Amino acid sequence: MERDSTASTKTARALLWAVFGTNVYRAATQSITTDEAFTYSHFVHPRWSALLGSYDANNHVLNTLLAKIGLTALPLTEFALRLPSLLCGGLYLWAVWRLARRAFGNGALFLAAVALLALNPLVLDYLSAARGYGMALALWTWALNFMLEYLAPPPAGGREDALNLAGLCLGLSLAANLSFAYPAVALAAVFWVTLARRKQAPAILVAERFLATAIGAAFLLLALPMAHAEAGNFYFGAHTLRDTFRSLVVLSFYHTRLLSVLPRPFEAVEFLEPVLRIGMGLLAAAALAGAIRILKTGKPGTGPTLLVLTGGSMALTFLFLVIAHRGFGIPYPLNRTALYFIPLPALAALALAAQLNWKPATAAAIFLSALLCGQYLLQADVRLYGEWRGEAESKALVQALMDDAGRRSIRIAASDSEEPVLNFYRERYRLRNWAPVERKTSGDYDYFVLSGTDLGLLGQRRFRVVYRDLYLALAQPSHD
Amino acid sequence: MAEILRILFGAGLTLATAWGLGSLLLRRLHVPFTRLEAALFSFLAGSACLSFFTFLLCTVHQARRGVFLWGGAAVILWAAWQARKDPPRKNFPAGSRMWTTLFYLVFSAFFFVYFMTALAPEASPDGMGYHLGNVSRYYHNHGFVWSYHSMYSYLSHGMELLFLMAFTFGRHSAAAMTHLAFQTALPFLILCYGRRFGFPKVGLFAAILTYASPVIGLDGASAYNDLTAATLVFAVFYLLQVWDEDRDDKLLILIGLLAGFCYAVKYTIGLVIPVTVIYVWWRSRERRWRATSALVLPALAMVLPWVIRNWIWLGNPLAPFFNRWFPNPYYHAGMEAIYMEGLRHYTGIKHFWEIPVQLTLGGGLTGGLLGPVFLLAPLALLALRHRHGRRLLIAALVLAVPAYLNTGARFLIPSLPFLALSIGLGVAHTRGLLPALAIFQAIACWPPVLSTYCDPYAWRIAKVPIRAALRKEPEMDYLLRHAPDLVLKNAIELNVPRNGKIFSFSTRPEARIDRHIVASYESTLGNFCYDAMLAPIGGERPNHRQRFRFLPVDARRVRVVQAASAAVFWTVTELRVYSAGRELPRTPEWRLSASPNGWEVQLAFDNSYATRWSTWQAMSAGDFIGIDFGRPRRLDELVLEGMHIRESHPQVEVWTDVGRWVPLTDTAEEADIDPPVGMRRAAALELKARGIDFILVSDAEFASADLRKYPGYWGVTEIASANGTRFYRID
Repeated sequence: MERDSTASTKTARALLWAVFGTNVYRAATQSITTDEAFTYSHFVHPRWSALLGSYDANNHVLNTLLAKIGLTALPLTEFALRLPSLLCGGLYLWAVWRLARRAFGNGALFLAAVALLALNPLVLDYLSAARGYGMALALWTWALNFMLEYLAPPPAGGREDALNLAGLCLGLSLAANLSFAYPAVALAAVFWVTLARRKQAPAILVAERFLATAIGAAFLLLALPMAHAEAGNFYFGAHTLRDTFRSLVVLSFYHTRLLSVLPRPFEAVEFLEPVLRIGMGLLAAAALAGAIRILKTGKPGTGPTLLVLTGGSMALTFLFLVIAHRGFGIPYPLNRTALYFIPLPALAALALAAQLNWKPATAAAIFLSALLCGQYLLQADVRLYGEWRGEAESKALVQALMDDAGRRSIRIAASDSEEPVLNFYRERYRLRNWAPVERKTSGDYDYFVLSGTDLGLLGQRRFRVVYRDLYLALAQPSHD
Repeated sequence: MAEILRILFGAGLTLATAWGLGSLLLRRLHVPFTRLEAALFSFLAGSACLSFFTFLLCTVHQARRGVFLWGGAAVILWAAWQARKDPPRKNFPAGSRMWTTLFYLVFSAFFFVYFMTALAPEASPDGMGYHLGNVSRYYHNHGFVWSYHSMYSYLSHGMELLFLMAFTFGRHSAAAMTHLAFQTALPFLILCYGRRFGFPKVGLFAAILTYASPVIGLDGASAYNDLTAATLVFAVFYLLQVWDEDRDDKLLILIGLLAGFCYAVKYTIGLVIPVTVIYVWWRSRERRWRATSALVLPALAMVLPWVIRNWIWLGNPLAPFFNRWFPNPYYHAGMEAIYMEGLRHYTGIKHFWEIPVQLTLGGGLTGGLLGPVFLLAPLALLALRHRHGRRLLIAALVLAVPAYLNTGARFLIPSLPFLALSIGLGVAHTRGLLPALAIFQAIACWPPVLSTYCDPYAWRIAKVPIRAALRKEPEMDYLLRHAPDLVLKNAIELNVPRNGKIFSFSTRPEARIDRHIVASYESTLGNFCYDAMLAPIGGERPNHRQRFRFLPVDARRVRVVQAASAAVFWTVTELRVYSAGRELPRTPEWRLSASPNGWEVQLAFDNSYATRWSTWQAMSAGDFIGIDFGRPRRLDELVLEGMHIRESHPQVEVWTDVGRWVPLTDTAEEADIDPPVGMRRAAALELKARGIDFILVSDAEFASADLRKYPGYWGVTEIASANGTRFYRID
């Protein structure tokens, strides 16, 4: 890689550091979300045997393990719980830097790659949230990095260490989040085909150093926790690919507010979803065609190799998704489980533009990237995570409850989504005067925390509202 | 303390005697082994010899304490004396310190667990059941008990004869400790294999993987024979590889001995013998006949005693199997088919992909688990590029064949060492993976960790029974946790006379109950009792009559021949012959015959509706039941009474003067009949007539509810009940 520092590299470096700094701030200040709190209460907090006795799709094993280890040394806070994800978020940003430098050198395409991969609001959420998605994305991206390193022309390429590390990262990506099974397997398959085509390494070497490492890493972490997994555990997802892309549009372009470069945002979603879906399909086809051509002609270089790996992976990922859905009834990805559809098409598109070697194509790619990044920046928000905007003010609610209740012993009932959050804060702030919060909306309780459709109860019963925002309410039964 | 010393003495004497015999044999053969190899193969070869000699003792009823004690001492002293003269053997070069330390750490930890489990009172189902049940009988009779009939007593008892010597001094736990020795030998054999053939780390890896496997753990620490089988099979394979390099024909004697002992220990691994013969024949380019003879003769010396015993005793050299080829009155071919069919299916498993998960991680539906790392078995395919890998994989596949016949996880034990070595060879060059997997298997299979993820009912060592092992916990308290029906032991032994018999629908811990228990599926007597008990209350009640009328005919012989073939058994409760409306009285000059199962033809002529003759195998055209009157009799009607069998299509034939059978009719008047009253009492009396005065039944079993509701009709008295099991006396 070139080490010269240019405007694009300086900008990219500053951008990545700014993003990382923002992630740190968010990890420390944002309220805990339902899913994070559930992970804590069911897997991180209990004994190690709880990890092995049952399985839930909420358990992102690698994240859980690292969080457990982290919390043996650190006191329980939102930051401590999110630390593994935050650090992996940093790894992801570093991987983005290396990948973009290796593939595009410096210049506009390089900057576009960095920005597209680092600024997407959905991706940014998971670079700090205590879940395994960002971790899986980081490891998958590092695997891609090491593959590019191995496939580089000699003397830089061909190092067996890179092969081992690619396999290790891919396996760990799976252990971080199972939704990455599709892009992981797709990437591995394309990598193997590329190696075979280029006769760069004997198949047995690849099997030993890469495949066995990947399988071994995933196995060591997943075998026992998944001993009790059943088909019913994998319930989260979309019925159609249309829903998949709709969720990506909403969470990327209308993450926190309905500001947009496009007019009439509600209609814009309906317009953008098919555009994205069809665009992805065309991109996958074009990238695949480009990849096949490069494999046939044997064109060397990191740029062409990136197109092969990303174009092939994208096409194969779609294929696997369709087979899994049609053949086995597995839902399509939705929201965060489609996270890999952010960097993968972005890389494929930029790599394709670079390979076309046609200025209008490059210009169009840069323009589109700028447009997208602009929309991303409009959605920047350090107060909430897009999929859990309802819990953005959970901490404020808890503070209000602490102020109102003082040191009294109290019993609290909460809506389903709020119960894990409140119990997390009960631990976090060592509120021993609170009885464990229960998932109920009626009964003899001192306080009710309501969200979603349960907010309608405020009008039906006599409550003294202690705290209220758009999504949450803290109420006390009125005895007047 | 005294009891522990007796246990250790019993096992120690047995193992030392085996080693002694083996070392004398190896000394004669002058086989160039390393020190560790010599110790291991001495033990294995000597075990074969000891089993053979004990067989001879049992045949002449001289398997006595004094013979074992003084004979064993003599062998040990003689071997030790001879060993003084031997030059010291070389050892393998020292391997990787990290790997060696890891192996010994894991081995020591698991050995402690297994040792304590073996030392604790023997409480395994089959150990307390037929394995030590047979041993206990041999012990009390100083040899084979020809009058005791159970399918399990017909199996080859090569291992049980080793148990017998240990049992003589240390009883049940000493037998378990004897099996433990084979379990302990196996990982060392595996690591020797790795060292000898140039992949020491793989050998250590495979040894850890195998030794830590949960099913190997509990099986090896119980009075079973699976670990002996696995160790022997691996030893045979090992020696074949050595012979393949050295071409020392003296090795073939050792190989043949161990291969034959495989059959003597467990029928299913007897397939090692033909495989070994084919291999040696194929690989020998010169002196094929000499080489094969050197292999086959010692093998036959181990196999033939069991074959000849069964042939003379039962008329079936391969008893309790192949009863269709060798019909005999001791075990029905149909019961054999039912038994085999039952073993072949995974109960509770709905999809095929659940099988590997259950076998490696669950264990509740497969009778144990192998350990999670064996889920990576496909990685063993990477070993195909090595010559040793190809051979190991073929061996693993061949030895997995018996698992098709019995779905229990322990039937895969013989394959495990080969599979573990193959996996190790396949990923030997993957950085860090071998030690990571070895450590993972050790941790994941450690009992407290294992219990967090496996099925709660998986057959495994759940807790280390230290208090029970050291006899600080009363033995019966420990045993009752594993066999609740043992609580009736005192009641049984107080009420049943020494030569009395008890009928039980299922197997019982017969090694712990000093009385003859007839289990329903284990013998023809058990089958008969089961049929009789179910006749009054089950779906097979005799409620159907087929009346064949024909023109009066004088015939000396008449028979009913089955014209149809079907999977069901053909049964007849009563066969009656009439002339002019009057039944021909049954007389002693009548000669009855039937095929198949001619031995039980009397049951169709005993005037009891609680008993019935059955083909006891799938009905086929040509099956018959008939009467030779002794002189010509006039008859015009024949009646078959029994349960309604839709598939049956019998026809009546008579023997003519011209010397052939002539069909008379196959048209019957079918009618449903009411079975006579009093069948329950009749059934109970049939059991009593056969020397069975007691019944053991669990509440979940078929006849239990009826026995509880109508003890008066059955004519039984409940003597004791506990833990869901009831003990009745037939009045």
